[in-house]
Amino acid sequence: MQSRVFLLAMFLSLAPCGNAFAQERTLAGEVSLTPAQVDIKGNRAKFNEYRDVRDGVHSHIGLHHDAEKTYLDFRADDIGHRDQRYELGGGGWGSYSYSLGYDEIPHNFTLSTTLHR
Amino acid sequence: MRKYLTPFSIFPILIFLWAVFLPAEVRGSEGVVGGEICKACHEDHYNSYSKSIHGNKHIPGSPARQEDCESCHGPGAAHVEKSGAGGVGIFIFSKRLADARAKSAKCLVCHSEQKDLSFWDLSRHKIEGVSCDNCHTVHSGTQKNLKAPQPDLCNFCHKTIRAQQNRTSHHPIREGKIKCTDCHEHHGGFGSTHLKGDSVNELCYQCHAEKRGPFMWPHPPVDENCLNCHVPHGSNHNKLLNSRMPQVCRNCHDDRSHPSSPYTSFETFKGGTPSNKMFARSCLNCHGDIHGSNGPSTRGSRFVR
Repeated sequence: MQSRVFLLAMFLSLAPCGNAFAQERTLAGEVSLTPAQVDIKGNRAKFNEYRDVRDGVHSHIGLHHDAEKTYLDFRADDIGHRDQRYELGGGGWGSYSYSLGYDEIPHNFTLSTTLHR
Repeated sequence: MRKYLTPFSIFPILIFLWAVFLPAEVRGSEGVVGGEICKACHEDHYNSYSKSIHGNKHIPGSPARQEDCESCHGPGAAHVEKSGAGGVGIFIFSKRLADARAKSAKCLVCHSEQKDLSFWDLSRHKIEGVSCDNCHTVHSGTQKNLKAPQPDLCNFCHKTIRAQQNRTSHHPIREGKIKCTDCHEHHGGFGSTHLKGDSVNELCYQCHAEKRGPFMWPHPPVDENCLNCHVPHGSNHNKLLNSRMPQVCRNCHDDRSHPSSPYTSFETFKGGTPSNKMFARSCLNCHGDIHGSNGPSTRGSRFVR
């Protein structure tokens, strides 16, 4: 399978708002938008067996928040795509932690024929 | 008696008790100079440490709340007195200067109580001489202080597994949807491959629950071990099979009845209507419910769709 993916990456970075040192850091984040033009020569279903790479914009958002006693992380990838992922995690330093996640995994066998099952 | 309990006599006793019973982070240790002194020469290392979780003063028991650099590297007074000379007992996480057990022991001083390190002493990694610093770095701001994200970190050593991940049929590991640690307890566990499940099947059923049953007509090798037919990390045959259809079935089903003699192109491709027993999904064209069936009568017992 030959595939060519033309990516023009554009990163919009919200530089860390706090100081670089961990104990002084309060909020940091980043946003990334990547326009993509995809040209697949070969099996399209195999190329996208577990993912959703297509023409459009691929996005990424990341946030990290540190407080005196707690922390919070949020991450989102490929928003609106069939392989989109969201993760939220946090907790209290040395006491508890939690994480919530949503992850879509497509599984393409074929995009052009009918399966028996 | 009262004349001995004057303030002048009690004061030395209090000083003695303070020195003996107060915690180390308050009392200070012998030969400890403090992180700021280290920073004067090792600024890059100190800054990267400060950005890491170890440098976070909000975490109880973190090096930042104890003796900073010297929590792991040992007291630095002699090192400072000799103007940074070596050979004064500073512990360095170097393969040349310390063996794996000594390096891991430094980390386990604080991390031995962690739940996921309960079986570290049983782990294959420890036995093979892997130490904490092979995968983690103290001076980092990455998640869990990993030196690289998964699966690249694991594949650095497990090159056979990396090759399997790149085969045509594979779990979505290289796509980033499954991590090595979703199935393996990297810090140690029961069994040679550190599986997170009680058995291979129990692990696979966590995602592939429809294969668990119970079925009216179970297929015995399925209940026995998924790896009888499948390769977990990747295969060049569809569905992660360890050999192609129909050979994977014929490893067991080689009796004289259907399917009896080996299929060749002579039996399967002659005439205008070639048989389906040699191509496409082969046996699964008819025996679709191969993991078990609840179908009635022979339809179920033969796993026919």
